[in-house]
Amino acid sequence: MATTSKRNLREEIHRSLEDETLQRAITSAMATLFERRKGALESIDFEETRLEARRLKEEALERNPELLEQLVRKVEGYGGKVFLAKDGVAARTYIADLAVEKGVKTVVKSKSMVSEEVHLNAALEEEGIEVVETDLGERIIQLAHERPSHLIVPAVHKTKDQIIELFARTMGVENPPTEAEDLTRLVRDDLRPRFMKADMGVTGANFVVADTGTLVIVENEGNARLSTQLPPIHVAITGIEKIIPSLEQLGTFLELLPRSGTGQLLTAYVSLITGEPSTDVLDMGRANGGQVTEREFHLVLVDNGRSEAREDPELREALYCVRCGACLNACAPYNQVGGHVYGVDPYPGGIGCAWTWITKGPDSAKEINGLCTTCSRCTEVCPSMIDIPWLNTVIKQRNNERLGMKFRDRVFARADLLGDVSSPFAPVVNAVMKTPLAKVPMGRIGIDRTRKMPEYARETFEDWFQKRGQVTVREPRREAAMFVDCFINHNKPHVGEAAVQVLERVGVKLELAHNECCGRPAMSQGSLDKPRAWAKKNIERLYQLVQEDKDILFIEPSCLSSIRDDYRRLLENEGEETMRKLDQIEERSWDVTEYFLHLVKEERLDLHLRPLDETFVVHGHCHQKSMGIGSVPGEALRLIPEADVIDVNALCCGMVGSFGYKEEYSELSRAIGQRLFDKLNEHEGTVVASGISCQSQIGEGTERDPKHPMEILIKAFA
Amino acid sequence: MSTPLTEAFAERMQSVGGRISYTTAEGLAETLGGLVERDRPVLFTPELRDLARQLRDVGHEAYVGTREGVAEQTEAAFEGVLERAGTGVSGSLLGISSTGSIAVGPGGGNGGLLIAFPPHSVIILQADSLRKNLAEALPEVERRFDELDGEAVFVSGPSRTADIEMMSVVGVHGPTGLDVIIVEGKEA
Ligand code: SF4
Ligand code: SF4
Repeated sequence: MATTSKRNLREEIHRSLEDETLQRAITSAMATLFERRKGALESIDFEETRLEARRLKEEALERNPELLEQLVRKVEGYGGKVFLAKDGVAARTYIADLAVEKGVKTVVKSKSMVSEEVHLNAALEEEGIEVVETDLGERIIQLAHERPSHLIVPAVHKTKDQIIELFARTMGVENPPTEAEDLTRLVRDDLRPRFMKADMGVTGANFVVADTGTLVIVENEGNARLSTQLPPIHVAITGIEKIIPSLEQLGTFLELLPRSGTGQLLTAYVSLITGEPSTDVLDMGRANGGQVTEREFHLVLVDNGRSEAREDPELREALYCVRCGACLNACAPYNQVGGHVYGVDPYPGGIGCAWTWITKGPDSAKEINGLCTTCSRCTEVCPSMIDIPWLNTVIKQRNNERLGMKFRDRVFARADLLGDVSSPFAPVVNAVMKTPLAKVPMGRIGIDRTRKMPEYARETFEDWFQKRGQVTVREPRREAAMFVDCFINHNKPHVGEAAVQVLERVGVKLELAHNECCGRPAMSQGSLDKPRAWAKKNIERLYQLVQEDKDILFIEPSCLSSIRDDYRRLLENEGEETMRKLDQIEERSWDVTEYFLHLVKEERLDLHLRPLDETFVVHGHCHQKSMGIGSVPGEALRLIPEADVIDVNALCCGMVGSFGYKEEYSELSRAIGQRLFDKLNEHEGTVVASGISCQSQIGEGTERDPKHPMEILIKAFA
Repeated sequence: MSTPLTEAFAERMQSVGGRISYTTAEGLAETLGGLVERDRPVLFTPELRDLARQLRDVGHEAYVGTREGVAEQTEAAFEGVLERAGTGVSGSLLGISSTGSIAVGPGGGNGGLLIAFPPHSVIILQADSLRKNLAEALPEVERRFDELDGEAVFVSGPSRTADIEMMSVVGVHGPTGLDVIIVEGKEA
């Protein structure tokens, strides 16, 4: 019943978007986390550190079976018990049985996503055991009977007022305090006696060190400290992918995790724990009838799909996640709807989709897969350099294979064909698209019928370029080929024309690359076979150009990002020769604006640009940002005398290829866009956006006419 | 006199709500006496036995927590005192300047509790044990890991949370107040 569940998701998105309290709560929290992270990263070389972290994670996972064995030996060696749980049922049954056997009455828990993954609380409660979440956020969620909506701030979707009301209702306090500080104190006082009477403490672990058998727990509240020290039995539950070889690797991870997660240099407590505490069991609270008098330590290592994912060259990537949550804070759809729309069993966001696939199976991951627009913003921030958009693309492809691909998605996948068919009949096609008649079938196949479809130009960019024949650039500084993308070619040829003219002014001799579609429109519908074939052809063609000592220029940042980021994965099995070619192609591939700016700087060009006394309001393209060239459009425009350039900082335009056209997501797409529109509308002037789909989204949302930086620059050359 | 390392450490520690006092080995007992509440027990890790005695000499209810109970006050059970304790005082292995952190060892088995359970935590840091960053500090902890029984906690400020509307609140489950006493050598 795919249709019913699709309607539900649309409905849920709608409800989240309408929920003003939720909107307020997430918006301010995400912005705070995003900013704090940025500040904390100033004190390290993020790129270098995350490269190292990634390398360490890869190595650790590669050696996982061997490390696991070593860890087990080590823990058993000091008297701890290890249980390898093949799935969630096994894990929760082991812990529940242990609790029953030991006569445990109260369990205190510190934050553990894996315990949520295996539904531990329900299993314990079924045995009549009191389970007390002690992390403040988790406690709030527990009292509200909800699920965590964020990896590190579980109650991020709740406002203070809602929490006050919740405490009044569930904690038997008549007039709960109103300040965060007093509310926190209230929970502290309520939990202290529970800590003291607890017979079992359950914690997670951020890392487990194989050669010493040590748990590493990163926390701020001190509840993990108390959960491991006070109750006689300590059970740590974590995923097998958390094992690292030795303490030596820890430094790199500790540099990154707190900075990425909460924007701290280090959290209040980072505990290294090896076995049970050396103190005797305290008598505190044993008066409540607890019977355990011996200290015990149990380590539950959960597989639950991880080994299988480890063997899977594409999904393996997900296992490098350290659960810092940074990707969520950077993700526009997450920022807009919050975690619960993702189903949170228990992992939200784009990375959550991969984890849901791994731990709960393909069906559970199907719905939330579409919520990832593959915009790549998260890849900029992920400390483990996980390619979350690619994971989502792969999942989409696998679901297409299992369940068939929607007709609509097949249409969107072939941007190349649409253009080829439409251009010669441009006026007719454009007219038909505008009629109410065209809107009906669009609606029927799942395209939002209120969206304006892109208009087709009668003359393509390629035709224009060929027609104008040989243009002589006197003493060319460089030779380059323009990568022709489907949308510039068919829908916005004038942008291509502007780029050609600007580059020729700075002495670049141009030709066309005669490439195939980059493949992104198809990849983002989860269709990978065609793009793979195109990619192979493109590599041969572009490599030939590189051999001829030519640079390759991209007008649409998304096409460039396909080649820089996706081809490597798409062609993983093609062998070293292909990768070598790809390396060389990458080295010579440029975003047009980046290239222009580079030339101006390197050749110290005196451009004699005409002053333009205008304001330019610049929206940064997601893929430009993810490729680290986000500031390029603004910088280029600042070369124009008298131009007033304003860089607007928003997450995403919300369109991202065809995402905004799909009826189930179009409301979300517009809501994401609205944040950008509001920021753009704070300023008069010309809106500048490098992406074609950004342009159409902004055009629709602001009724302004966004321009590509090249269109502005050519004016200044005139 | 402070060095750049202590200064950077102090700045980081203070920025997350930790308080800093400077003293010398001779002035330690007096400095500590000024930081703790008069009418509540002060609990020490075993390596601070002398310091506990000095505080007791000036009228504080001071105990050393060990496995066997509360040393030198043998009738009192450790947990009974722990529950009433106003302050837990712990020594430390080393400090980390760049992150404003202190590594605390097992403290005779109770170190982990003494820094987390009483409402007020005092950690004593020898100025010359300050290291520049994690990369310098971790190998040292690693080298001494056996002797530490595999237990070490890096403390960076008092316990805190931001779980309610991202508002920073100090003192959730662990101490509300953290004092770090930096003990400097005479010539420093
Ligand atoms: S690619 Fe974009 S939409 Fe997908 S998870 Fe990352 S930030 Fe979110
Ligand atoms: S995917 Fe990366 S950014 Fe997201 S939680 Fe995992 S490690 Fe953090």
